[in-house]
Amino acid sequence: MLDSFINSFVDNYDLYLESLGETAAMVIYSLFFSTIIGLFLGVCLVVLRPGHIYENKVLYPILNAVINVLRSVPFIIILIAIIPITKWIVHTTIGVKGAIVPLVFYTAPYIARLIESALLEVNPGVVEAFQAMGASRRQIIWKVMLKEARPGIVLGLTIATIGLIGATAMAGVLGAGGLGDVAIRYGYQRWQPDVMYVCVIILILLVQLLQTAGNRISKKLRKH
Amino acid sequence: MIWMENVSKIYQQGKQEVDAVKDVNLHIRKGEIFGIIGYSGAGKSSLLRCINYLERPTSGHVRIQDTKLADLSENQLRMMRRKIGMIFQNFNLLMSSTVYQNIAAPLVLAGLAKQQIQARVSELLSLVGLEDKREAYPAQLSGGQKQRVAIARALANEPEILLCDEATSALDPQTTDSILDLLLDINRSYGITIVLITHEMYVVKKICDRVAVMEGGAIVEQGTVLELFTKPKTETTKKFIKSVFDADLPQELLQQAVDKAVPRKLLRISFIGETVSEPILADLTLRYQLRPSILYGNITKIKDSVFGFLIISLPGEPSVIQEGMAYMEQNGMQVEVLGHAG
Ligand SMILES: Nc1ncnc2c1ncn2[C@@H]1O[C@H](COP(=O)(O)OP(=O)(O)OP(=O)(O)O)[C@@H](O)[C@H]1O
Ligand SMILES: [Mg+2]
Repeated sequence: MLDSFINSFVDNYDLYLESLGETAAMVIYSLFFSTIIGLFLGVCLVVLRPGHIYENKVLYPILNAVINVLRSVPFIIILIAIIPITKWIVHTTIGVKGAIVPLVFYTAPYIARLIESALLEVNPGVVEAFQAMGASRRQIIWKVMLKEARPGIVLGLTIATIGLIGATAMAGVLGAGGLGDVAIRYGYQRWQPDVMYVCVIILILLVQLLQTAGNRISKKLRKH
Repeated sequence: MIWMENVSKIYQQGKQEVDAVKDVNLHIRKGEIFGIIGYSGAGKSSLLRCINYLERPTSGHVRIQDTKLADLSENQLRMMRRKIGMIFQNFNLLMSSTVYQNIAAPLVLAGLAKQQIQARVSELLSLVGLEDKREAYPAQLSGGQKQRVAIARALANEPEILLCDEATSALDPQTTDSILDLLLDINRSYGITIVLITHEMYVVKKICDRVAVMEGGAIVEQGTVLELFTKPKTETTKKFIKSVFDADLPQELLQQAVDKAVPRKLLRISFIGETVSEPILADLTLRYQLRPSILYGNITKIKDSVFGFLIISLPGEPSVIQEGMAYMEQNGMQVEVLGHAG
């Protein structure tokens, strides 16, 4: 059993390395864009709510609803449904590039919610204290809310990254490649289960590594 | 220094309106410690937050020196707030920042140079006695220490006014005392005007010069702390005073004293400050041959003064008793007849 894993790993070393690279590329690029968008939306979800620093009784419910809608569509459907948008943005729907757009569509609203809940953990009294000392709203967002929420934001991003790895496997079906794609192609279509298992083990290790790192960083940032 | 004219605050809660502050008029003088006391929900926090416009009054005006807050732009208001420090019951420190960073925060916001910040924070740390906690995080501090950090932070921009929202309510009695001493010290050394709200009469009695009693959003009574203690007008005020200073003879003792056959008067004599050291009762005996017996008494320190009272039973001829009472009043005591017998 173990022998056959090791053999499979050695025989297909290049295949694994390449697909790991593709997975990493998809995750890193889409995480980058999703984080920027998600952070922005997450902050909006908090500061636009009633009683907060940018209270807006029109925008808040709209944003809230839009994010809920996006969050309720399964990834596989996003993948297909937004093909025209993907084409328009990156001029292709296949490969790593083609996968990034749907991955961002899927992950950004998720990150927005994770950031929102991390920001809601911040003691509103501290925001008040900074308003009382004459901080601007921008300073309150950067120097109070985002700074205080860092441990929660790191944990949220860790969760989002792991979710993203799962989603890349599905995106792989559209020819983006990656570990998930290899696992399905070899394990399911060509009936080479050992290749599938190796892929799965690599994925498990990757997830373990990320979660442990995320926990460590978050703990280091948390001073209470 | 601070004027509030007909200030009202109404919160809209769904379809309901909450009258948190009702038509409040206050004048807080430069350099004094002004207390606002009231039970939970009386509207104290709402009123305090109107002073720095964290809460905009629904109607009425707030003026600080010559500036009407309603006339300020958002930026001008922020500049004004830098000169008004504020501390809270729950300290409200940045948990992810060190003591140093917390105290430096207002200076960083104001855009001071790093060296100036370092110098100022060191000064503040020694003022509040936390030099050795510079690199600690709030979670590693006791409640009293956290409040000291919050006080240092509030004083960073050298404000002229310090607002305290139940600053000692989360602290034990000993720590409360040390924080109150610190506030008193700050008030005396820098002349900072302090407005504090509390539900503890002890706090008022210990450091306030003047006090307003709040109930149901309105100010029902205000004056110097001594005035309130000596002549409380409302039931609420009386209850607050009673919490730190019991001025009532138990009813059955009063009855027993009145039931005696020999003609007598039951008196409450109150005294403030200096008169305490005069041998008034001995004088009653020496000058008028009256022989008072003491039934009950209490004495308390109010900031720098002393306030006390005695309930005495005074047998004798009504005319002589009258003379004795006049003598006591001449000597600065307040005399009140509680009952007579015979
Ligand atoms: N933001 C708000 N929205 C709606 N109602 C509010 C709001 N803030 C306070 N209130 C209401 O206004 C009234 C006065 O509240 P406030 O916090 O000023 O009282 P307080 O005297 O400070 O009480 P405590 O001692 O409990 O802090 C209360 O009935 C409270 O429920
Ligand atoms: Mg309050």
